[in-house]
Amino acid sequence: MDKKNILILLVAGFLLMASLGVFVSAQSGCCLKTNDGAWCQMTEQSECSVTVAPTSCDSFSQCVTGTCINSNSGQCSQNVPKATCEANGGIWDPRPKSDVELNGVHVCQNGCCSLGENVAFVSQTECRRLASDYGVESTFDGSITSEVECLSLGSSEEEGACVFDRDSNGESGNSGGSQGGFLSGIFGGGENNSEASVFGLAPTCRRMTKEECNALPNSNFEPGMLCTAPFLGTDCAPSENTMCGDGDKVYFVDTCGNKANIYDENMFSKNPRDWNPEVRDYWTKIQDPKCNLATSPSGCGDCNILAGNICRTYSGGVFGMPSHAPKYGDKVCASMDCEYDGKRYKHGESWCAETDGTFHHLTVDPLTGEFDSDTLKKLKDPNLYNLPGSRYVMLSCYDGEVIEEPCREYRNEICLESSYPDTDYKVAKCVINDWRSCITITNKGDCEDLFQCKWIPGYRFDGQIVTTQHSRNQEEQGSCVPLFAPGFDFWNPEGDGAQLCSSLSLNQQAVYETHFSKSRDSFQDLNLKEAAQRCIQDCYLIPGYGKDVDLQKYINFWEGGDYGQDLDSFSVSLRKGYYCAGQGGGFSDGKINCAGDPDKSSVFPIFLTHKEWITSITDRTRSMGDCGYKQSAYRSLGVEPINKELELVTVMFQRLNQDGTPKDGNGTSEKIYVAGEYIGDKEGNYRDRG
Amino acid sequence: MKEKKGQVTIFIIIALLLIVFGVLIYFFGPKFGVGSGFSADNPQAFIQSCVEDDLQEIISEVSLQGGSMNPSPYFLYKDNKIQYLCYTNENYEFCKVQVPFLRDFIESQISKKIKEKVDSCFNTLGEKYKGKGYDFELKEGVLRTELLPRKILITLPGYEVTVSKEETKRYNSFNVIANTNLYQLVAIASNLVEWESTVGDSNTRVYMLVYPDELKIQKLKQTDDTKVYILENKKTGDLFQFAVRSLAFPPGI
Repeated sequence: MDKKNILILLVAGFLLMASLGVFVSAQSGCCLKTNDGAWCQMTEQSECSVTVAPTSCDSFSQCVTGTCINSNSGQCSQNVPKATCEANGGIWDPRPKSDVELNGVHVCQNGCCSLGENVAFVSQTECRRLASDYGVESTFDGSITSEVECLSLGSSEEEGACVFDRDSNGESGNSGGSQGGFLSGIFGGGENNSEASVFGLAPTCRRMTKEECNALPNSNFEPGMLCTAPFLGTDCAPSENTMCGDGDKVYFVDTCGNKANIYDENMFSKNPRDWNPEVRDYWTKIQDPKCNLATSPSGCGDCNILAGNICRTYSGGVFGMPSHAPKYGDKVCASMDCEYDGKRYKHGESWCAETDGTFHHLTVDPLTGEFDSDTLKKLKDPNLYNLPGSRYVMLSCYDGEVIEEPCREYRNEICLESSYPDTDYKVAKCVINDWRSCITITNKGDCEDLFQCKWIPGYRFDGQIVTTQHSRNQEEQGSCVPLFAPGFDFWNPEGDGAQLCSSLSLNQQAVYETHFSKSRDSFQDLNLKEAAQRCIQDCYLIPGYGKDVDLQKYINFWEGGDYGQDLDSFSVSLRKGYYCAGQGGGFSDGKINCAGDPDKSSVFPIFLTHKEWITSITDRTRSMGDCGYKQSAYRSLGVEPINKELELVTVMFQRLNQDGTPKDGNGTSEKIYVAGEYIGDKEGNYRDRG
Repeated sequence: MKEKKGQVTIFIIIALLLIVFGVLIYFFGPKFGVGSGFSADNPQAFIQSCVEDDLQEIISEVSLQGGSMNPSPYFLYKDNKIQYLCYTNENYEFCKVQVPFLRDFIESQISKKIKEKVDSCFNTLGEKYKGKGYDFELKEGVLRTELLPRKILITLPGYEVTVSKEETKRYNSFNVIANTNLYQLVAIASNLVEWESTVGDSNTRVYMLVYPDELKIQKLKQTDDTKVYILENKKTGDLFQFAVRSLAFPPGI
């Protein structure tokens, strides 16, 4: 008579023992001010400078947050606890900032404040303060609600040439030096100008707005004109000097130091014969440039920040500079692009860094926000990416400088990148890795709707078995796990990472028949194929189970169909009781039915083969975070050797009586699998290599 | 022959004296500068000159510590205490604003710290006048600090200096100006804090796109999910850094 042995497999996905923190039962609650000076925090009494309120801060009236208003300075601040506001002399209002009114005025609403030729996007109170401090008139436009819109109004007032008598305004006269004499000759009457300059007789000129000009005594404003306009007869003459001016463009400068028009190398010459009417006009009226930066990189000063170039002092051979020096002056439109790892990135562009252990350049579709299938397939392998110690980092290019922004530690954020096909312009972002929401999901559809989750068929976190007589029900029989394995502070005894990993360990029993005369106490003595064929419970635990079977045919067989050939030679159970609940004996002819009684059918097992089982439990463990054994991690981090028993399968044998009760004491526990390798499995006999 | 030798010796002595004098000027020039900054007709210039270095130092210190001379609560970053402007010690929660009126707060911090120096400078001013035979009388007023675009202005309303020698003169307009655009950085910091307190993060990109050649903003996420913000005006070199802990995620659950 055959005796039954139980093969017990203890599966430990992670063996670091969590040291559970001792729960200290002390009074805790909302603390108005902590010992370290923080307002409205949840603390223990010992950390609080006053008596804690035994409630949450949201329910504690002094800590409810709202808008805090300083009616004197016009400053408003949102999400301020009531007590904090009042301690700072503010008026607290529970409404959001945009709704707050004092005396019928939306005091917290910013608008565009015009202060002379400057603008500022500030509150009305602040606008008044600035006007008072700078001694200028101010106007406030509350209808402008964006800073960019406000800034664009800054230079809308028309400029022109303000001609005035130098002596009456304390001006020191011509600042342009020797070039005034030469160039003023080009414009009719220039000789006189030059002489006048020397003897301090001619009026001088400044480029400014009408309002500013009118403030000067004995001044005359010529709207839209440059100070070099010949008919003005000032001592200001064209010069070859340039400067960086409004909009970070390159401008010519006249000999009085006034900004002229945008630099165009064709609009100046040291040779008087080259001064044609167009050039003269360019030095007479304020006008838009005629040059094109794209075709004349060093000869045109029409820089455009939005297009990624800006006025800079020329420096030959430096990245971003045009290949040639400017013909006049020393300013050029330089590119604000960056060079990083041999690649060129545009100003404003951002991308994900290639940090060790992360998935490099996690690219999502800019429209759908989804990964492409190839990326997704690679990501699902928990052994290659999101390894312990790895961290995503976002890089951005601004004004020629690469700025690094590490995403959150422990892979609580991942870096996603989008690339626009038409421009190849990259935009990256650190995005929250909300992996915690995965583990509460219990079906595949909902799981895969979240970009940060993946579904692993197999065990469920709640331990339920929801397979049916007709199906393995892999839509529900499985676990929703993080697609981006998070990191844990496994060195911290109070951290729950180790506990989380340990919770994935499991203990299960396979039951098979064996002859009493056979040695049954050691794994080495076990004939795996024989055990598989005589197995009647959770047979997939037996190494090599189903390794040679055609999975589709085997599923068909489970469903009562025909396998198509005799199963006698395969490493699968040949016992009727495994397939037909409550029925004993063997079967033959490659077909099993449960005597036409569906109630007698066994439900599908969670796994059909040992390979499915070991793959599922290791993938699930490794995906849950810094759990299990990830050889790539240690290789990439240069940490060798590492404790391989982070991932371990042990077995123990137990003899049973015919009635299923234990016959005698437990056997000795044996390790059969450590970190991806079966001990003694030199030829791979245990594993399903199919 | 002896006379010539004597002349040479005198020239050498004069030359040595000149060198010693030059060295003294070189090493103690700034101190002399302060002294020479005193003009009996312009006590305002003396006060500006006397206070400005200390003011710059205080501004730098305050700027690196999140606007506070004694940050609390703070985050220790590179051995430097940085004020949390918005903080929660809990995970998954938005932060609560700790410093509601940042500009006012910084102004008051600077005022408190510079007051001692201002008083000391007025005392020195008195000594200078007395040293020149003046009677000196000081009426103290209040000290106000204002963060303004492109400058910090310390005004001293109520301070009045009365000096008498042959005639009596009163001076009552004193102020000290520091050239810094901390105003701009503080305004941006306030916006970033508002982002953090409402959505748990901020978008720094928009500022660097609007002011690319001027602003550099670094957001450095620390292990406990504290974020250290470093705001820099590239043109002026002004820095302002502060800490925030909002919508933090722990390792594990």
